[in-house]
Order: sequence, then C-alpha cells, then structure tokens
Amino acid sequence: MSRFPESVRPGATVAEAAVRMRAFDVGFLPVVRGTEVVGVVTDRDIVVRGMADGRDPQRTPVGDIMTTALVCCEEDTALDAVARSMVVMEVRRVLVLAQGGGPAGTIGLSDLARTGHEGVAALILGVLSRCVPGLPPELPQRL
Amino acid sequence: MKPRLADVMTRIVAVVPPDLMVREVAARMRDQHVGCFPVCDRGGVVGMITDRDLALRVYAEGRDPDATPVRDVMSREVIHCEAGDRLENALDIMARWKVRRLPVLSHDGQLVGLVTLGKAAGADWAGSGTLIRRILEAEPAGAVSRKRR
Repeated sequence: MSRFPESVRPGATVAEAAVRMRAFDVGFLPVVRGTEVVGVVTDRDIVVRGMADGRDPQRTPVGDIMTTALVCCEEDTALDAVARSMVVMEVRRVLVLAQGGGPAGTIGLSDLARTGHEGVAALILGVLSRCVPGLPPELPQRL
Repeated sequence: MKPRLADVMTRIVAVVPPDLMVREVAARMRDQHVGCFPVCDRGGVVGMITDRDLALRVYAEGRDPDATPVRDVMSREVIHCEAGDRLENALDIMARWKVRRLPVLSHDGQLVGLVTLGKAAGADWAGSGTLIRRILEAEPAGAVSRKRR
C-alpha cells in the first residue's frame, strides 16, 4: 500500500482540493471530518461533477462532489480480497482505513505492480476494460 | 497467437477541436465516459487532454473553464505510435513515456486509433505483465493517471 497523510475536509472548496492534488502529486484525496473518512474525491470527480456541471470551484464544497460509497479495506486484509473488491466495485484503488476509521493509505494497481503482482494488476485492468470476463477462482500469482 | 496492434486498437475515437472551451470538454468526458481526448485540427493530432489535466491545469491554476480553450491546457507533445508498429513497440513507448493511452497515427499524421493500457492488458495480460509493471510503477501514489509535462 501507499501511505499518505494528505486529506481534505468536506468544507474545503473544489479549487482547494485541486491545489492539494497538484501540490502532493496525487489524484485522490480522502475526505475527512474530524478523524473519520466520510468520502473520497478524485481529479475526475472534480472534472465530471464540478466543472462539467458548471459549479463555481471557489464556492462549491468538496462534500458536494465527493463519492460517499467507499471501497475500503484494512491494513491486514488479504490481497486476494482487495483484488476482487476492485473488480466488483470497478475501481483501480482501494482506501486502506486505520483502526478508528481514519485514512492509512491506499492500495492501487501501481502498488500491486510494484510488489511483484504485476500479473494480477494486468488481469484486473483487463477486467475493468471489459477485455477479460472476470478474475479466475485462483489468481495466477500467490498473493 | 500473440495479439497485434490492430487487435487491441480502438478505431472510433472521439476527439475535440483546440478552440473548444474546457467546460464543454469536461461535459463530454462525463457524457462519453472517457478520461482523455486527442485534440485534432483538420484531422491532425495537435495535443492530448486528460481529466487530470483539466483538474490540475484549470482549477489548480485559477483559470475560468468558460474562457479557457483546450489548447491552453493540453499536452502539446503527442507521444504516439504508428499504424504499422507492432503491439510490443506500442507498449514499449507507453512504458518509456509513462502514458496509459497512446494515439495511433498514420504516416501523414492523421489519427487512426487509440491503444489503452487496459485493452492491451486484457488482450495479453500474462505476456505484457512486465511492460505493464514498468508503466504502473512510475505512477505517483494515489494518482489516477500520470501527468505529462
């Protein structure tokens, strides 16, 4: 997984979220109220829910465009289960929650590729782009 | 049999003109469920624009999406392959430049298709695993797509 401390408050503006994404070179920020993750916002959310809908980025709070259906796991979740969550929920990245509900980091296709699971990463990509029907019952590499 | 470039290339590719305002580009990305458009002028590709470019180069830089044409924020360096290239060459270009979508151009610079990492992975995920690792490894943590400068 990739650990990251960066997050954004639900009351921050969309413009502030974009500045943070650029500053930290990320495309994904957990939205945290107090110590709890209440949503996530991606660079694409900013474009398709903020810009495309004609909202004012200086006045629109992140809470209005964030995704509240979280795809998440815990630090000790088996990678096999993480891979299947990505396929079922059609995401390339899963939020890792610390005990207590705060953000610990993310695990994405690039993390799988970096840690010797590139075959699995490629297979998930194939499923997400509708070229492979689904994950086999046994993943080809030991997870 | 190993897949060929022609087997994994998308032939019908939506494009945008360079003078289109970015608000409209964002709306088309939403409506067409895509994250990237080649920017074309008289058939020739003059740039590429991604959803990440829009978020970071428009909002993070304080530009007005109703008054910013896509040419002001697109990537002008068009990393591409040619229609006659082998799939391995196309993937190698994607790995070297860390891009996940590669326009396929004819010899005279006209757009003939687009190869995406997902399609390439789906066609030959075992054989292309190493190249896919090279592309994904370079991603910043949490990034949706690698920004190009």
